[in-house]
Amino acid sequence: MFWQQVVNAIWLGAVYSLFALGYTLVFGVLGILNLAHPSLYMWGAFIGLVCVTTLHLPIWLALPIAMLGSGLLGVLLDRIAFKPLRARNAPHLATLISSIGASIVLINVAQGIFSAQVSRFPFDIFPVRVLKFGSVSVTLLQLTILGISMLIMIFLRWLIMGTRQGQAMRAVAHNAVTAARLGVPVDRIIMQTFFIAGALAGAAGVLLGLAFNSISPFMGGPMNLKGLTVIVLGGLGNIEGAVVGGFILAFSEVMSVAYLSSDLRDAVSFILLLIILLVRPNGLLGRASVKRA
Amino acid sequence: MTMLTLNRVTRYFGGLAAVNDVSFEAEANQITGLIGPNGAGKTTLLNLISGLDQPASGEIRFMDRAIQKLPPHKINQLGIARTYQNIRLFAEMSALDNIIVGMHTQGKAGLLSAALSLPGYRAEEKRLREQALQLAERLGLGSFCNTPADALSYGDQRRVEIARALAAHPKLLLLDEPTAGMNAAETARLGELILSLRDEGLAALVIEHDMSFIAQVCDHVVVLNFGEVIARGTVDAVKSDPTVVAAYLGEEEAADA
Amino acid sequence: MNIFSEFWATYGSVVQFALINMLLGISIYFTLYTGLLSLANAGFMGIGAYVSAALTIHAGTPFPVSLLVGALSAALIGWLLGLPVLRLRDVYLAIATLGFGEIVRITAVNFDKFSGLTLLGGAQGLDGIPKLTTPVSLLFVLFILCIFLVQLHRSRAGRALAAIRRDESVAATMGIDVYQYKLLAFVLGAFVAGLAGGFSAHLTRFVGPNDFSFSAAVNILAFAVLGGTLHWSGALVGAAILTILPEALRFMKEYRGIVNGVILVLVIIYLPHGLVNPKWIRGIFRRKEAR
Repeated sequence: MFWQQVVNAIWLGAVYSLFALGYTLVFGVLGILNLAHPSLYMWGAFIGLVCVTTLHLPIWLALPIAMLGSGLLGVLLDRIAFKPLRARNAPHLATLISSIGASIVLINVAQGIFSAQVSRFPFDIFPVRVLKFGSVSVTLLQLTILGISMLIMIFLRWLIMGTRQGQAMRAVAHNAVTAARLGVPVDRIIMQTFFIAGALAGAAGVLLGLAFNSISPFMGGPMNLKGLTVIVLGGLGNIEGAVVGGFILAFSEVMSVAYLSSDLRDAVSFILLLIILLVRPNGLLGRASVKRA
Repeated sequence: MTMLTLNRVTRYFGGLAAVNDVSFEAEANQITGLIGPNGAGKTTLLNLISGLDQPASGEIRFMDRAIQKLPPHKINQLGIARTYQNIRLFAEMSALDNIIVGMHTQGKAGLLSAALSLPGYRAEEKRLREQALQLAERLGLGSFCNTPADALSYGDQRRVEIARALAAHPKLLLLDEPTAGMNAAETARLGELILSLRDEGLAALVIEHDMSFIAQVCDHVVVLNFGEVIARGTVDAVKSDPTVVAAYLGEEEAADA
Repeated sequence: MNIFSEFWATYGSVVQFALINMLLGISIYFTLYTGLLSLANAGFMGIGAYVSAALTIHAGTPFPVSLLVGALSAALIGWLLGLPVLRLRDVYLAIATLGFGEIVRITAVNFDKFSGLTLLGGAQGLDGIPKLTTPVSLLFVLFILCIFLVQLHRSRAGRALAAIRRDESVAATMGIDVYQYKLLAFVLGAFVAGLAGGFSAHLTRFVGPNDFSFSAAVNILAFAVLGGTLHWSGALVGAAILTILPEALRFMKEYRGIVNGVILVLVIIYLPHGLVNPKWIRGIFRRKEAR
């Protein structure tokens, strides 16, 4: 029983981390808390769904297409809702409100196109196979989700720490003005940051949509609170922190549902969020590793 | 009588000591100058005294009370008011309103008496307004009272800031480069004002680059370089101190290079 | 008279909703005016709605008492929530208040189950609340509130709030206890949101746990942002426009969500002070004084 819960928490944590990475990346590089990030997650799930149902593409092709789509949507979001504010050096409050407005638009447009009903992937989209390890059972889908999430996270780490792009991104995170003076194409780096963040959200959308087989315009709402909990746990802007936070939240949720009460699942993330905000507002690992590195 | 005492005050920024083991006193009824090259830690020191920042170690005493752990509003209530190097007025408020906001500690009318417009509240508002007008007159701002602060000239904005700080009736005034952006006539008038305030019992700690202004107003000077006190004494004594000369020369060479 | 009663029969409820939304707009104006983005007001509205409705139904208290106790409960919870979260700065405050509506929902759904009482009606909500809200009572409360706001802005406390919004640390070095004044704005906002909740419950005759979600918080935010947060009348204008326009223009009703979102983005980008600019108002008063 216990080990089964551990396994459940591990793959769930991987997806939470995936979702939260983009959220925290944008904050780390630009200091923007993009409350429309969960809407990109939802759009990713829908793009994946359309690829599979309308275009009859296989799921392994739908995932990258969804990532591309939600990544581009992320760039568009920045151009419309954030860039004008950045140009004016507007206060934090303005950026937050703008991102809230953008998220409402994205949700309602999705509702108009895909209806408010819950949509599902076709049943046979992924082979249903259960693997048994002693008393612990894992589905092939869960293993695949875990594997893909891990691959994407390793790729992201390499991108930020091991490439020129990543170096430029860290320079912008540290100080955009200085970076521009040193010849870093700041505007392009910002676009890339939003693209990566959107793509990560989209990947999380498709994977969680597959896992729970439930996709709706409102799926971003509960995820938003989870995402915020994860990135605050890890420290806003902290890449490694988001991964650690994702697993902590997943473990807390899975364990409290298993051993306390399922009514508490939704409250767990908020309580965790409040505690961490009050005790260690800079998170367990401190702020903005993008900046420090 | 000693009004303000700094005892081995230290503040680090990212491992570097911005203020390192600084000790000095500011006397009541005196104007103390705080000078030194750019980046010597003068503004940091003012932030520490006014409570916007806390020292890593050391003690700051004001009128025999340790204040280094107090929040800024408590420190102001004890009698320390300040101005800012990069003018920080409430931009779209009028000059007079800026001064009235500075009188926060001079009123006590609560929300309820204001909501019901009780006589006590109305009398207090009238008193504050009159005092603010007097202060504005004294600083030569009489004709700009209703002008939004950001529409004023640089020198006038500096004077509004000083008036706003004086509005709290402080015992110690902290001035961060008060003459920056002022012309010679304005600077001279400000010097006279500070001296007359001193004669009325106010003490001040003044950061300034204009050495003739320092010579005009200061009774005593503390020289900082790289976060440390390198000299103290009267203006004349400090001016001829070889370490001070070397510090300033070093800066000029760096500027020329 | 006939025309009026006809008009009222068709649009009476819209007018009352507009008045309630004005209250909500003012509730978030208190915090925005102080420079705080708090998204907890929908939750406070929920507390006011539930408490006042439960009192009317189960205890049979007169409407004004239910209303007042509901608002005071919201203010009390606001105080308890504000004590810790107002120590947090901008982004963190928004994050900490974002989930508050969710907590209200979870509490409302599970309250009866855990307490063993039948007070709040669980997931079904509270039905059959007597319709006690009248346009006159709403106008009366709104009028009192407007007078309060005028007086607030002329007072020491009002100046302190304005100073905090513009520059928190400068305000602090002028002797203003920033934390206490933030708490004041937060609690005032919670109280007014609680009032609005009580009125709304006794107008729609229903309170449900899902009425106070994030999107409700966003609607409230839209009222204040559209109207502008530099003057309290902005919240009134914003609420009136966003309530009445969707009724007037059919297409807007269908796309209400999109319209709200687009308005938030456009107003913040192109009209950062909102529709009501205090400079005009001051200009009108000046002219009068000069006369």
